[in-house]
Amino acid sequence: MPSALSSTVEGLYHAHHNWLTSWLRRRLGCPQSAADLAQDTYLRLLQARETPQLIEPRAFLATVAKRVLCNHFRRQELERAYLQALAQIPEEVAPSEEQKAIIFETLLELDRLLDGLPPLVKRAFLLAQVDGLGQGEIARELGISLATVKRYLSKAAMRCYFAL
Amino acid sequence: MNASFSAQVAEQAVHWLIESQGDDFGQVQQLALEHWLQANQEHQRAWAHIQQVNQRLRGVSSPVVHATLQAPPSPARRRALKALLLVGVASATGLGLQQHDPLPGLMADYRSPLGQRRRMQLVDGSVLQLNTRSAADARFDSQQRQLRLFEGELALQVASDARPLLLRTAEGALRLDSGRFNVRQFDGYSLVSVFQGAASAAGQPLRAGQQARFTGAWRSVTPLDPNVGAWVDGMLVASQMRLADFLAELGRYRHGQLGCSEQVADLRISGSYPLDDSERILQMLEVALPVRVRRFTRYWVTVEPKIG
Repeated sequence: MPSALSSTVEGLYHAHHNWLTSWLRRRLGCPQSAADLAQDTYLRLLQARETPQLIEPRAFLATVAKRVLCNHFRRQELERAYLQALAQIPEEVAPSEEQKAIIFETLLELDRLLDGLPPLVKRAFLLAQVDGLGQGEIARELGISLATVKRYLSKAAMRCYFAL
Repeated sequence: MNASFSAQVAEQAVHWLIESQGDDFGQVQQLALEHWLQANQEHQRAWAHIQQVNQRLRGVSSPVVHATLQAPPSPARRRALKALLLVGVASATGLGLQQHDPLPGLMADYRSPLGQRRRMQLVDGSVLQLNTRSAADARFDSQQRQLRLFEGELALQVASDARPLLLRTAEGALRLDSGRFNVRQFDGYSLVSVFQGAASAAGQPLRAGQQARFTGAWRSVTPLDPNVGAWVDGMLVASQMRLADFLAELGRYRHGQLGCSEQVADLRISGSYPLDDSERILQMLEVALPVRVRRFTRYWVTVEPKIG
């Protein structure tokens, strides 16, 4: 396999598709999602501006695939939690299927943006911007000072609104 | 959810967001915020961006967010079920019942009955939308474009044209440049919100991102409340709204009397609600707040504290 070809996504696809799919299948135990996630992996490569010159294409693919896998598991986890939360809502006030999907997309995005922030920071942010609690109330609820609340809210807000 | 702004503007916008939500945010800080907004269009864009994201966040039911993002709500909050939020805050003012005069606008060109919205394209290409129980006239000639709001509320996308556009409310006339506006007639004043473009009255401009009471001149100019125009999309968006005010808003779209007892008037409510199904919104209230909805007749509904 000439290296010029193997460094394009197309080249990677042809050379390592089967290997990648079985790599994913071993970790997922499900052929259907393995094929989907292999596609996701290549999609991610296509969206990247350029594929670096590769010495170890399989190691590179595995690194990208791990990230895809991670997202996949996180999504499943969120979906489970989401469905559980929804199950507690009385049927007559539950959101429509379409609303459910929209809400879930918002949650996924929020989760991704707030990922890595300490739990208290996240919590303070959700209490402020989703629940609309006042800063004094948040301080009492979390048992922290008002100055800390403001610091937490600023930190999370930079992430959530500006991805900074 | 994120858009690209310079880190500096982002930091300032976040600073103002956190300050404006602070418990000690007063008149002076409000003015400073307005100055900051006026200083730079980038500031306005960043501010509007935050409001948009917040609107989206508040449209998500809180217990679902907490449960899903695995930051469990407190037991107290868990009890306060589902789609709406409650925070009891005391400050009692009476329930403002709207008065409505059946006479004005009977002969108006455009009218939208209670509970309905209408959208019209005017001859100059402007788009006029009328909210529930609203009436307006349009008179265009070679010299000028004249609109008149008799009652209710309108949203207007003004097309650019050589002729000025004058909008008349009960208090007088304002001039609207091409842009997007929301104007609502209250008792004694109208509330003018500028989403795009600018409005002017008595020689004074009201700019994009601002709203003001109009009484012949601008009174109490404030930053635009982005929820003002939600009715255009058939939504009622509340953010920490008193229950009494929420019901008064909802009542604009329903026949009959809708109110609440004093004990529950100050409960707070947030979220986005589809206007076309006010019955469902009332059902949701019972789930979300410690209240029950009492129906004396089909057209007389009162929200009271839940018993037991």
